[in-house]
Amino acid sequence: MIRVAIAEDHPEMRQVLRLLLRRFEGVELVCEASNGQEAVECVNHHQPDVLVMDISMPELDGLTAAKQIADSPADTRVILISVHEGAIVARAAAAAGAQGFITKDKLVDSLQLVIKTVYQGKQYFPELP
Amino acid sequence: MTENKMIRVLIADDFKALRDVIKLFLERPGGFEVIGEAPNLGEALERAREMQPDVILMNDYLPPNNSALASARFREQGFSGAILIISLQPEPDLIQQSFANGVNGFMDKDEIADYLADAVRRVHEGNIYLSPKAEEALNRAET
Repeated sequence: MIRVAIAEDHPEMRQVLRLLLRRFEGVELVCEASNGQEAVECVNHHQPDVLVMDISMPELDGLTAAKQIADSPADTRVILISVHEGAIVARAAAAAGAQGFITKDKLVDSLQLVIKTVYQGKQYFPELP
Repeated sequence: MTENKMIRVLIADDFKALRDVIKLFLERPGGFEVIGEAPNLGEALERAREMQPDVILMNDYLPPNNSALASARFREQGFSGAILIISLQPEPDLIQQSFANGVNGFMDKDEIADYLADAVRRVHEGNIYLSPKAEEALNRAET
C-alpha cells in the first residue's frame, strides 16, 4: 500500500484529490494539509511515501515546503502540482527537491501514474529535457 | 427492458476537475451516460432544454445562484427529470430550501465515492434521496 498525503489550500481541489485517491488501488490517504507548514508537520508525523502538494499555498508555499522536506530525514517523495505549466515551473519544482511535477488540468488522467513513478524512485518531469 | 436503459446525466458544476472526477465515478459502475456538462446556471438551463437529461447532478452553488434558486429555474423551465445536489458542506437551510424548490436528492461531495451511483439511480426512480451526511446536517440543526 502506497501511503499518500495531500497538501492543497483550496477545499474544492482537496476534495478532487481525495476522490481521485479513493479510485486508485493500492493507495491510502494518511494525511491532509491546507498549507506548506501543515504539510511539513504531516510529513514529520506520518512519514508518507508520497506527498502531493500545491505550489501556491498560504503561510508556507509548496516550493519552500518541498525544500524543507528534502533537507529533512524523511524519505517522502514529493509531487508538486500547479495551475501554471511549462518548463520554468517544472525546473523550480525539481530544484526544490520534488520528484515530480504535474499541472492540475492533468491530475485526473495522470496522477495515478505520477504517484507510482515517484514511489518507484523515478522522477516525473515530462516538461524537462 | 427499461431497467437496462442508461441513465442520462447532466453534470452542472463550476469546477471542471470535479466534473471530470464525477465522470470517472459514473463510468465505473456502468448504467450511466454523461450527456453534457455545464459550468454555470445559464449553460445548464440551455443543456437541460436541449438534451432533456434524466438526472441533473448539480453543485449546491451554480453561478450565479445557489441550488435552491437554480432548481426553481429548472422547474420553471419545465424540467421534469430528477435533480441531485452535491455539496462541499451541506447546510440545513439550503437543503430544505432546495427540496422545497424541486430537488430530489442531496449529498456531501465526500460521499461521492461511496454513494453517488446509488443516489443517481434512486432519484431517477422517483425517490427522495438524503445521504448520511446531509441527513446528519439536518438532524444537527433540529437538536
